[in-house]
Amino acid sequence: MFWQIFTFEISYRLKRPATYLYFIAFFAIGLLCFSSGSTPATEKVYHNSPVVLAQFMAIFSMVMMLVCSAIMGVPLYRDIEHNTSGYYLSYPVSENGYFWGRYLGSFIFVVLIGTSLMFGAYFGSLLGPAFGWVPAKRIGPNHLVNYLQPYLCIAVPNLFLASSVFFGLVAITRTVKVIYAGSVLLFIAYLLSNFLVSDLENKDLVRLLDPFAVNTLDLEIRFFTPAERNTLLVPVKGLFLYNRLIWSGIGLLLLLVTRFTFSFRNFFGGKLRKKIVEEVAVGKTYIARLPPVSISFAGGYYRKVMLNMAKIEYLNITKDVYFRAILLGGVVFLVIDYWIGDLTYSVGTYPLTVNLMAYKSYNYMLFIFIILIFYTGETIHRDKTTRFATINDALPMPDWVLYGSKLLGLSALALLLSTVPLVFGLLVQLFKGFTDFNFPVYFTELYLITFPQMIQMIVLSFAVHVLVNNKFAGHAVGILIWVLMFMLRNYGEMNYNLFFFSYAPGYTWSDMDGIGHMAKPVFWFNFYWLLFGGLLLVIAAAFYTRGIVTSAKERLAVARARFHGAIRIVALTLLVGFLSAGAYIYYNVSYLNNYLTSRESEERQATYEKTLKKYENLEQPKITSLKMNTDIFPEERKVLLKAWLKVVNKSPVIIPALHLDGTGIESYEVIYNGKAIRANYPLIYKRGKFNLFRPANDTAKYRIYQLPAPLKPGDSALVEINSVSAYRGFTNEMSGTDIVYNGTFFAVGLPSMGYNPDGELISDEKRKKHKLPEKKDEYPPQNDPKGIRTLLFNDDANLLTYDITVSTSGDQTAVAPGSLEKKWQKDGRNYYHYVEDIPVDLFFDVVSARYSVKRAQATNYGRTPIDLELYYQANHSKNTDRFLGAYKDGIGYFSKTYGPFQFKQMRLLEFPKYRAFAQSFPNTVSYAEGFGWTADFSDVNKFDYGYFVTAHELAHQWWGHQVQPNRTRGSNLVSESLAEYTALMLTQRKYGKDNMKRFLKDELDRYLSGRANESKKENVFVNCNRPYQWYNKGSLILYGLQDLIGADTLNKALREFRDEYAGRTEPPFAGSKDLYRHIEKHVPDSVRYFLDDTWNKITLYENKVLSVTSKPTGKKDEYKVTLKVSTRKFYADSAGNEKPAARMNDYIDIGIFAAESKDKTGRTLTVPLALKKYKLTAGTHTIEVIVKGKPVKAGIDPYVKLIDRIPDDNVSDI
Amino acid sequence: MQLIISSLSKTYPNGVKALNNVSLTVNQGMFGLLGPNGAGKSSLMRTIATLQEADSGTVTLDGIDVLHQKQEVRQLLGYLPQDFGIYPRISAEQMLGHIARLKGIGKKSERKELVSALLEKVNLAKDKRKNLGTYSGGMKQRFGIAQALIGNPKLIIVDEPTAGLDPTERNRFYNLLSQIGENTIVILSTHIVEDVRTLCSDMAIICQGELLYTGGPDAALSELDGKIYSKTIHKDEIYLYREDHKIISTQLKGGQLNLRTISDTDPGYGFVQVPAGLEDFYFSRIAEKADVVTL
Repeated sequence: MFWQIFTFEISYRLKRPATYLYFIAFFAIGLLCFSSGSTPATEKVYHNSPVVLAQFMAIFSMVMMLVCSAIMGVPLYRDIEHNTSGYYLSYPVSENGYFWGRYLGSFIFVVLIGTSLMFGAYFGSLLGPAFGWVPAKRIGPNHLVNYLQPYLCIAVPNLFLASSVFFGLVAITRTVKVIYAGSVLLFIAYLLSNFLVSDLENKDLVRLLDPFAVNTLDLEIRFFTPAERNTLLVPVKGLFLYNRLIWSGIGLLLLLVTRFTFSFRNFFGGKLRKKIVEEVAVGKTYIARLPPVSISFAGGYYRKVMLNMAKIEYLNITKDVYFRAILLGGVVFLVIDYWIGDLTYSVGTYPLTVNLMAYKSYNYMLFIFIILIFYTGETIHRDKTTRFATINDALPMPDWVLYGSKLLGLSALALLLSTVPLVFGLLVQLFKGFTDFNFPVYFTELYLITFPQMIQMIVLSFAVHVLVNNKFAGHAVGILIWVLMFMLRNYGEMNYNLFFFSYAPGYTWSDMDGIGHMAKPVFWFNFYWLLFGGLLLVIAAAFYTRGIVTSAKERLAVARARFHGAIRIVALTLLVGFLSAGAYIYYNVSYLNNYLTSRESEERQATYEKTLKKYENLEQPKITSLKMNTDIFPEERKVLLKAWLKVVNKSPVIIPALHLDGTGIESYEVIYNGKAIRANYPLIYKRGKFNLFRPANDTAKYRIYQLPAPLKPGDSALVEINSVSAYRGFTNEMSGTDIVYNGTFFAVGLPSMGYNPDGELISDEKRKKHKLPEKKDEYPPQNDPKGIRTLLFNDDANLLTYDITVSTSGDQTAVAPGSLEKKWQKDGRNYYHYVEDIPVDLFFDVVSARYSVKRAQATNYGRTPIDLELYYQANHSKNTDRFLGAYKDGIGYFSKTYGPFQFKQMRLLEFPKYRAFAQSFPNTVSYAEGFGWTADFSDVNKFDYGYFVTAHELAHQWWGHQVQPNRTRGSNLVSESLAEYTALMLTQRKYGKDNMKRFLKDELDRYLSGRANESKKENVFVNCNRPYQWYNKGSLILYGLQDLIGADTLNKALREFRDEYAGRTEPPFAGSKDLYRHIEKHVPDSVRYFLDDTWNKITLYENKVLSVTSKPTGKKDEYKVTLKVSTRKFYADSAGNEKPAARMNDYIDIGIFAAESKDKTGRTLTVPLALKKYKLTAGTHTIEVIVKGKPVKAGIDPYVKLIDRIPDDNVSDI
Repeated sequence: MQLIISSLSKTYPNGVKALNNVSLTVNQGMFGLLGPNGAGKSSLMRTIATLQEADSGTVTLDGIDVLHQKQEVRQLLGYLPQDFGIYPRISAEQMLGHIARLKGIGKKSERKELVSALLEKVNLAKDKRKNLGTYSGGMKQRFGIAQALIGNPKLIIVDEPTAGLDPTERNRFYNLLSQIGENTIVILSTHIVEDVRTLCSDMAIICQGELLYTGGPDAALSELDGKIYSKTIHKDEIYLYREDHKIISTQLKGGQLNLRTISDTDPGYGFVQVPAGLEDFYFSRIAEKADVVTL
């Protein structure tokens, strides 16, 4: 029996065009992705490398959930839908044969369609290089196993799981709607793992939780270097294997449970509802007439009817159990996202309304999107699906009542869904004891931004469903439109929002600046799309079908007949409104502003380099003193600058011309020695193709000013610069976040001198496309004479003093580096005069906002007091003591250890959330709103990153501002690695070693994933050129070094280094090898290998505990612990190819730990019973240690001081 | 009240001519529409009920252009489609109340009274609070009847209304209809010829989209008076009769076939004259278009 059913199913499937369409669709996806090189591979990874293939299969086998639902949902439901039970039951069909025949007959197609991924990817990898869409060197060798392994280990289990879930759910519930709920359910598990993966602590859980292994896979391969990605298959072992087994097991279990609960009787006959048993009708009293009724359609009767029907539509949706299930899913995520939010080093923030409004888009809006798309279709087709339409359509309400009621019901739904984030937001805030509700933010976000966006989603689906007039085709077309837009934006490099329905520029809510200047574009785009939506609705209304439509021609005729009178006027009005709004947006985006596609921006980068590279080594004068007046107009988003510069030719050659690059400045003019001078414009760009009304030649702000008299070596001149920096109108995407209504943080507006190599294209693939030579290194070698005499952060000056007068609006405070000499008010504006009389880098910003100020004092070593000032948003006062504490502790410790603090004051200034970093200027640190000001540090076991980051920025006053790095390879480590390391040591002094574990783990993780995603080559540390090297590796290896040679010894070296370079106003400036030289002096021969390994090589360890046992020795409270550990050391080349170290005999910690205890603040403490360095060679070692106290844990390098590929297996429970 | 259909035509995209130049006048009272499956009955009724466009022709109801003034027609219309669905999770009472509102009965008390009277009439009063999804086929049909009667319709169109009803309910329904039909137009489609005979003052027969007859049942019967002959033969012998006689119906009973033929004169061969029924008339007209020999 099985066989007949099975083959019937196969021949049924073979006849369905959909079967082939699914195959073709996914084949095409594979073909497109791989032939166009749209894969997540970084530049040194082959597009068709085993890892990329695995990622591709994981993601798209998840997307194939849609195919699974379409194919696996129907085989059983077909019989219910077509009511074949009557005769099917009478056939001699066995339940087993029926069940498995239908299942396997369908599943085999799912598996076959799944192979389309392999074929698509394979042919894509051949086609891409053949047609030149992808450079040939980006395609590696194609091995069958690279395709088959991920297909079998990832794709097939995913397809099996989804297929079993859908098949089972339909068999059990006897409806197809359950598929939506099933999809959502599977999706929830995936989203949950997506959510959890953001925190380092949950990685193992995520590995198991992701039903499609997408995150599991990403975790498995996250430390794979480019070389490994190109050659290694994803190892199917450990948690990855368990994930596959668990989820396939769940699929199988579900299938078996379904089979055992399945019976023909229940499935076909089993009635979910009880039918009324009819009684024999008996004659009833004869009522002669129906009671008289008054019928009138006059007045607002139809309107009332419409409202009533809208209510029914609304209730129909909200009472639906599947609706409730999906919404519940959304709400669960909403609450989780609200509750946990964004984590930084596992630390969350207080539930600020501005934060919650961002969190709601993480997952909730996705559920809402599904609900709106799905239920719009349901609502439109409800009458037809239930076949009530045959009665309904002949009832005497006009079309607009029918149409309008559905629209209104859905709008009410949108209103409900917009209100949910408000209600749960308030609840979460209340539960967390947070009462600073920001209702204006709630209302603006939810009812003025989110609600219109939901309406836009509804309107598009609505119009599509009405026009397509078929539920499933309508869904398909509707989803296709969204997918298409998504693809074009993400892979097609298109983002011109005027052409993407419902898209608007992004925005961020902040406590400091609200929605700021983004309110206007968001409003205008929403308005524009609502008008378009209205237009769609009117057009769809003309095509709205009532009764039976027999042909497209007839529909068109009806539509044409309907399209007259009022409807025509409305349509025309909407069209005019839509076009006007569009014109206004265009005027802002493409006329007032200069919109460029990403390709155009790239082209401009290339043109800049091609045209101006020849000026790179041109000598330019240096600024030696600077006086300026700068006026900030926050409400106009404008900054005016008047600057007087003294420049001196410090080079050995004559300088005939001044090269100024004013990129980012609206306009500027130059007066040289009291006279205006004329400029040449060597660089002219083509007009952006979207900006039809801008001048055809877009003159770049790179200017060459021929000097009236050439500047001879040693000559000086006075240069006056007047500049305007302003943001006019709005742009296609969020921009101009440095000059805002409240919280301006702006780099003044001085043009820079000469060619700027930082603007060059980095990617060699892109460079090749633009016929530019490969770019191996950003900076010259450490002994480059020009590099040594140039500063890293600014090549326009050596150290200088300056004098700034800054003004801002009357309600704001403006701050610039230096001592505040004077402040006054004039014409309702605030003026401040700052003087920096200690020579500093030409590297500063001005800041202006409505600030609260908190003051304190720190003591410089040598007992001079330092004024501390904290400028912050009034309601962000929770963590101010942490920031001040870091300043006090830091100034005390650093000044004693590394040399005195050089300024009289130190400031910390909050700036809006638009940007998330902190930056250290001379005696001034700008620190982003979202980076600790509102973090919740109440858990004492969490890492106090507010303290740490402040310490880091403070440390830059020594490393960066006392010791200035030069412009040679790797020199940034002088600034960043030392700041990171010294801040780490300061934080460790305050919070203890235990508290640093989480941080070090994070540093290691960032270093390993940084090098894994390296798109060029990994440099050794002394040549470091990437953040993951100078921050993360830097702090790790310096921490490791102080562990070997002692913190004091290392500090001594740093002190000597600082003493050599601090406060140098003239070259030579410090490079990475200068620091190395000082450190090397203090490293004993026995650990020289470590210094060499970490600075001059890329070294990795693989330390692992294999087993631990413990036995009481017989003496009281004494145990013998036996550890079996293995260790290996590798050297990696710049591509990530690893070779075992030839000789290894390295110091590695072996630690035995008792149970954790808590100190009096509740902080967890690890209790080491023994912690000792052993000299270990590569291989397995058995180590015996006798300890006092009961051991519970032991391991090798338990604090992960070495760079270990897999740090999680270093410690084991006893 | 008069409904005038003239030269109504409709061809479906697949080429089927659902209505072919149909002209018909329907007066107040019950009007029976007879025809085999697929004859175009439902197409005609849907067109009158404003649910379907016609290719050409006109339909007027007391001066209202039915094909274009749909709104006006719908305000006068009571329609029971042949095939309709219900919202399963709503009670008959609520649903009828809702429809009454849509039909312009603005007062809640009136709606309530009307709905309960209707439920009484269609014998659903007892189950009025139960969800429609739990109704049996017959109950659903009676619900359909009740909704069609809401709002004093002047034009009632009922498509195969008695399908699924037991004989008692059928009678009950017909009584109800004839009572209402006194001052309204009721168009009733059915394939039970006898029902038309008992209920309708006027009737029409259509087949393959063409109007074959329109007039009163009595007039139709008198046309056949004395022209129907019958004979019982063995079923294998049918070929002997097909050529020479105008067979209008055949009925098989225990291997014997009962033939009915129409003839102005005695056909001989053992045929016996029998009293004519409306069914004979129906078959005789249909026979022009379709093969009525059902073997």
